[in-house]
Amino acid sequence: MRIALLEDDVVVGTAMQHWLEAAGHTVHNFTSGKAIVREAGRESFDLFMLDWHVPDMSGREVLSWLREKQQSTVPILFATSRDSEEDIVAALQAGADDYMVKPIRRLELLARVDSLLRRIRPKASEAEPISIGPYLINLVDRIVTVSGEPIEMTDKEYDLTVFLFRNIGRLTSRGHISESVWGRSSDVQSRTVDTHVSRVRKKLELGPARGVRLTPVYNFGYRLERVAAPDGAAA
Amino acid sequence: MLIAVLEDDLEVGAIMEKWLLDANHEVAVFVKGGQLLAYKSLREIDLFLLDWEVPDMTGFDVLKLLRAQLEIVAPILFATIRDAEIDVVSALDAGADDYLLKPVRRHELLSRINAVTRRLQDASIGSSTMVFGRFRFDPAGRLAYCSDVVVELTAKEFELALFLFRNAGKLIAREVIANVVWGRPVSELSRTIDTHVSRIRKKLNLAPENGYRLQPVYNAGYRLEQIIAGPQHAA
Repeated sequence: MRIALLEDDVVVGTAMQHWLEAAGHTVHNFTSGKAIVREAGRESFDLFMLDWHVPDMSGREVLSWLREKQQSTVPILFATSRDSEEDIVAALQAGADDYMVKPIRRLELLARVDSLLRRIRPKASEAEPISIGPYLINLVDRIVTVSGEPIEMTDKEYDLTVFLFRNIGRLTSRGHISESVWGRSSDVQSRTVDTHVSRVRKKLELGPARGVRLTPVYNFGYRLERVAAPDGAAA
Repeated sequence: MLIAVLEDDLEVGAIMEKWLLDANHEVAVFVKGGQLLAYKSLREIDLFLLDWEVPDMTGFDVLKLLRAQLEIVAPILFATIRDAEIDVVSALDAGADDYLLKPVRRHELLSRINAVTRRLQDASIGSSTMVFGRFRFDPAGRLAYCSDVVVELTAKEFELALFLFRNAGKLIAREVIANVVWGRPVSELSRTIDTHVSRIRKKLNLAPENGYRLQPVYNAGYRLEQIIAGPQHAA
């Protein structure tokens, strides 16, 4: 999962980044409130982890900005040294999903992150096939079928398809897509993402006739969404 | 919400019961795991709050049974004095949604219950179309239909309507509506809930001829009732 981490203590931030990355997540580190807000405006993440006291804009303000201004429903986990009940209640009521008091313990952090991600995607099982409309993705054999017909795809096209279907209904950024399909280190051009999306769209004939729509969002990324059955189909 | 509490210390149990009752929850307190499970087979429980060390079956055994054997999806919170990281991690990994250390603080407990409930509600809506008689809701496109005609709803109206339909037949307390739809305490909303209810009643025409009736329950909340159509030939 792609995690945005707000922590101004570089030592603590780096430690948490290592822990989370060793558990298979990718972590983007920010040391100021404004920096994370700027990035969250143009990139999508699966989870935010916020410290309270950071320069220029507090974690608490970032939380309100995400929930109220952005109407974001992404899980938000607070990790701070503020341990008064008032602070915990204020953060939870403003929309935080969990609240940890520092010092943070590694395994507990990982378990709480997993618990939050499980809450947003209860059925994100590794082996269970994804089935949406006529589309069926067999994750074990890495095969995509449309109405039972197998579709020939390259590895990257397959990975992209799985990513889009796992995030159905969500707007995902180009950076998020390229990171999960090509990996963090590879410097993939956004053109490459667009080309692959366009190929997948064609091969799978993603469109309202098949109950889905792939919408490009200018300067940001893509959203695959379900649409109502076409006219004439049984309600 | 109906909350089942497992707590063998009678004093602590009575205090938590009072807190939860004051927050307008229904509460059932048990001192043994087996009692709680017996009760579970009689009533549908909305949330479990478990102590770890109780006679006969531990809270951890109850957790495992609820998640793995009975496949219960309702939120489960732990409140215990066991503070070892390994305990926190095993509980979360076995499916607990949150883990509080004793002594539990009142407002923190209530806020954490709210946070967990809110998240579960978001997740279970997902993005697939839901049909209730003549009404149809498509969360991905935020579209509501009555007899296949689109009804224009604002984002909050849509969430509120869908929430009422998903809980048709149940009395939904104003506190629950405030928490789930607005994520705020009811005291901050004053007339907002009533205004929204009255608007969706009009817009969707929730009336017996459409198979539903939206009933205010004095001093408590609202109940959306499905009207089972009687034999039509008599009319």
